[in-house]
Amino acid sequence: MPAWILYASDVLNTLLLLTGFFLIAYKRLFPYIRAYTVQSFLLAAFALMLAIQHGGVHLYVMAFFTLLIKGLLIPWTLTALIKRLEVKREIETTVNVTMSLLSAGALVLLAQWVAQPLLAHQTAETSLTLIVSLSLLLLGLFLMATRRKAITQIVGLLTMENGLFLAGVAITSGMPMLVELGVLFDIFVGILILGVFMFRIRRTFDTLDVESLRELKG
Amino acid sequence: MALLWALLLLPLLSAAVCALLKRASWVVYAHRFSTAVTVGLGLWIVYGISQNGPTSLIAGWLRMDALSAWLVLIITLVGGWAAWNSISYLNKEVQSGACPEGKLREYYALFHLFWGTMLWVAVSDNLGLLWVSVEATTLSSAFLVAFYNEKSELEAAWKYVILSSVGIALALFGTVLLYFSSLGIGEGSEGLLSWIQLILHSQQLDGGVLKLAFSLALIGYGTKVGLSPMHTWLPDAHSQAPAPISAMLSGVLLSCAFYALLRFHIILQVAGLGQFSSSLLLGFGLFTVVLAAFFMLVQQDYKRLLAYSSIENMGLIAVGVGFNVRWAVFGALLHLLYHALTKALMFLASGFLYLRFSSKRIADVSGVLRSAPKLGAIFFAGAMAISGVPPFSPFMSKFSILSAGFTSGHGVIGSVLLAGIAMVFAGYLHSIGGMVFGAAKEGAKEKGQEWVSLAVLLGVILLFGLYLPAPLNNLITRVLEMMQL
Repeated sequence: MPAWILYASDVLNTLLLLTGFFLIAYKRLFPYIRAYTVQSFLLAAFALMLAIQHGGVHLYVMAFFTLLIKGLLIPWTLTALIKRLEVKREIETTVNVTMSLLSAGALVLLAQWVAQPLLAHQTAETSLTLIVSLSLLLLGLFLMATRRKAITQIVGLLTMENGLFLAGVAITSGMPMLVELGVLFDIFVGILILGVFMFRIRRTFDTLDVESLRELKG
Repeated sequence: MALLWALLLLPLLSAAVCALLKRASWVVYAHRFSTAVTVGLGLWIVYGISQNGPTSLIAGWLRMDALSAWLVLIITLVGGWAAWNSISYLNKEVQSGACPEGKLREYYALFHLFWGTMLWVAVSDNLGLLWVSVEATTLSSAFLVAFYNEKSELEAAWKYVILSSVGIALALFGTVLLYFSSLGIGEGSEGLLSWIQLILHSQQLDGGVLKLAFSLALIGYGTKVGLSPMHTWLPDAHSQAPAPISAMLSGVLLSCAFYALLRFHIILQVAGLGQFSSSLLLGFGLFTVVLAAFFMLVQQDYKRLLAYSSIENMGLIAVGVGFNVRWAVFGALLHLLYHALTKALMFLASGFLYLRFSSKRIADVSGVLRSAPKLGAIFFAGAMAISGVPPFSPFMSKFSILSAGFTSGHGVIGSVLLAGIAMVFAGYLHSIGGMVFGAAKEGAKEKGQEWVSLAVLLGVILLFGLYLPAPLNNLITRVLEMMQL
């Protein structure tokens, strides 16, 4: 493995983890979306790096579609939604930022622990990627559990997906292309559908706080 | 296998046609035609598989074996019945003004799309494609759950999409790990995603990774199956959707999700790790049955009662597979079909009750047997059937699961299961009994012929309890062979 790849992989992994922490720390919506966008760009860069390392058209195609769908189309859709729905730009949390950041640290440790059985087969480089990907997965789950706006739940879900995607390209250097494209397509359609629901929820409930979705119980 | 292609593409094509047609009456014609052809094709193909064995459509991507055929049977039978009854149900909705006529094409288009995606689930050999199809079932049914855009429907649909997506994200991780466990076996240094290839090379897969992959798939697809504690979306979505869609969700969609889980289980079974995956299924299944039984005792809403009953039955099926002995798995597979048929009947009957009484509260409905004798009798018979009263078919499958459990040395689990089933029976008798018997409410006289198709389905449920057709027996035997039981 050329030295620059080791170096690039380290840098990208660190930055990816950092975007996860930014998502936890931000209290305003636009920086929040931006952190997700940066994360997706980093992911595309990671795929590109693997493409250069291993060669083969399919990783290049994946890098391109990651950039297109996760880096451009989804952030663009989310921004348009926020503007059209005139969402209040403040993010309400059920856990305050300090506690959130502490929990995020704990989740990274948890990811390290969960990854152990998989690490036996890995080189030092992919080990780090695997831990980062699991961390993103858990951080996304944490965001979904503690952030109350509909749009922040969506970003939590997307962060989970990014973690998964990273795990996919890191430990297997990419599944068959058709599958990956199908997954990307499903995610995108899912976001569009959730966007439509946000419009309708906004119209009938006059709020986008998911706390108000609590009529059905038991 | 041009017929199989036709089966896979026809629902997608009909969805497009329904969406494009302008006149409501034409949409219904297209829907009728396409439903009849889909059911005919489906049953014919299932029969072919039961006689001639598996067939491959595109090597490594689309393949149909006995287990797929079993699922296609459920999808076409229950789906076709729900499709047919959608017409009369929606006509009533249009007449009462609840549904504008212009929304009909949206309904039928989405219905066929939903139906089609489930057929793709059944014939996906590639586990990645399987994942994509399962996610597509969620996406295509989301707007059907929130069909009238009422507050509670939107809430249910939002939870449905969000929770299913989180769950299924974990299932994707399980799929990635499965691929990872097979790295180096495929061409070049690649791994495998084709299910049949994974089965053929199961001895070379990495055991530790395989266990982790199954655990993630269990949580992920288990969310869609409705296994506790991941079931929370299910009562909301099933109770809020229009009745024929509730029937599809409960009867067919849950079966599809369980099918995906079963594919993972069979890989572990063949790789010699069946002990691990079956004990997990057993544990989650038992917990699900007990929890759902308690929730059923306190239900105020009859559609939610039926939804919890679906959760309970899915738990029972998981336990049946978890026992991992021949007759228990036999019973579990049968129960997948029998539960789908009976629950479709119950949800549709509950829809007709809702149209009469305009309330989903159990307390608001009483004396159905007096005001609408046929509907009331069928509703009560259905409740008895699903809670396992002979001679209806669910009794046969439940009996098979339980007796195999007891004889294979799972005495304690069997007893807990039996207690759960007894509680469910009590819950049904208490709530449904109150609705069916008792004093009649004013202004809910019997009219219309809706009971006819319900009676036909009840007849089918009864028939399966007395006689299992040879092709079906054949299919199950082949599935059991695949599972090395």
